[in-house]
Amino acid sequence: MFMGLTYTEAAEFLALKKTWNSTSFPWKPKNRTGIPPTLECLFTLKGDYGVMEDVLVVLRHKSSSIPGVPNSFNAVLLFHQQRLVSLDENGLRKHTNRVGIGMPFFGQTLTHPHLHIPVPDSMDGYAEPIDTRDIQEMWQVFLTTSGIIGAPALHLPTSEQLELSL
Amino acid sequence: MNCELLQRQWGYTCQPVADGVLYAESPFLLVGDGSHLGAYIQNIGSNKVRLSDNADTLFNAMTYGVQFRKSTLKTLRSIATSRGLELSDNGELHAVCSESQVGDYFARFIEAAFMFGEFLQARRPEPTSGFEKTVTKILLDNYGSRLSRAASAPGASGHELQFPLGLDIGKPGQQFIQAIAAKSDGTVNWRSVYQATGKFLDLKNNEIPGGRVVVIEPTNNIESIRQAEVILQNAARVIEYTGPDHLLKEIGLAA
Repeated sequence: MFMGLTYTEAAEFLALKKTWNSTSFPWKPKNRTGIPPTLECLFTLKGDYGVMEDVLVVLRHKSSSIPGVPNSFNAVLLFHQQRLVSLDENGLRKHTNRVGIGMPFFGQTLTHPHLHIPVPDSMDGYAEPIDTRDIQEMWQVFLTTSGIIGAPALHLPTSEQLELSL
Repeated sequence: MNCELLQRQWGYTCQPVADGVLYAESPFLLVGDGSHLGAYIQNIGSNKVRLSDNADTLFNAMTYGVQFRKSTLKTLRSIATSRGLELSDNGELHAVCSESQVGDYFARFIEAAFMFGEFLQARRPEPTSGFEKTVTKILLDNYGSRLSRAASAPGASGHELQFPLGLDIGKPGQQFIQAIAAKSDGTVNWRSVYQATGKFLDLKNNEIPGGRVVVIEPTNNIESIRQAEVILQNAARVIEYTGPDHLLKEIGLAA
């Protein structure tokens, strides 16, 4: 039966100092099937003793096929395969917090961008708004919440890389 | 087709996106995430419209680590087909209908997206198995604050090794503990066995003091447990789980 990490474990891990471990953003098309066509970047992080095990940051970019709808960007911090922090910038779709009792945005409906974080009653499903449309500012919110230091400015895929994903 | 008509006739939230494109959204949420289920509705001429999720439903599942295997896609396609919709090779849920049918198709669309969400939530990677949780609870009930979750130590490779459990970490009798669950079909999870072996050997080679313990779940084949023990024997002490009392006794012996 699925139990997952506890909130305490997640909070302790987020409080740990983690150092960015790369100087570039090597965007690549996602796997063989390309469903949906997505570009990905995977990064390890460093702790006090070197590369942290079972810790990964995954960036994803999906081009929109609908006129007027922006491309989607997602940044995720994974710990033991559990999605702990997720930055969602995904156009017009709204999000409602049905979990997160006692949290400031419980029960509220948000637009994008927003940031998913663990809450005591659930690892998934609670998000808080990010009050900017600037992608670099969103990136900083993601890094700060994740406890990551030393990361460079975000580089989104180039137009040549975007064509590879289509 | 316009938002006013959609909102008046069907009560959906709706907003224009571009010339000939609307976004209609339902109050229903994607299971386990909270994103609203909706559809982009694009006028394609001849009184026809095209509904699409812009592949957002599957993209959302990707962010949770879901892998789209052939069997997964087959099930998703059958869900789409059962509602008169299609799943494209690019993971886009879509349908074409006449303007007069848009309400009916939007309802089908939301049904299919909701079913996608339920199906895909069950395919998210599982961080911890039920067996690991059982072992954790037994040790936590007995050792309380002496038990650490996510204990770490440096390996000879220079990697920071993470162990699900640690007992008396930082003290001379510290133990690094990893539970290995059987696979769902009752056989040994060899991948976990080899991963644990490599990790514990890395710890051993760095001469980190203390115990290295693997608690392995019984399987339907006793011989395969013995094979796992052979693989692990040079890296960690193996405890075959038979119950709480036996586990506590064995962990106590190692302390």
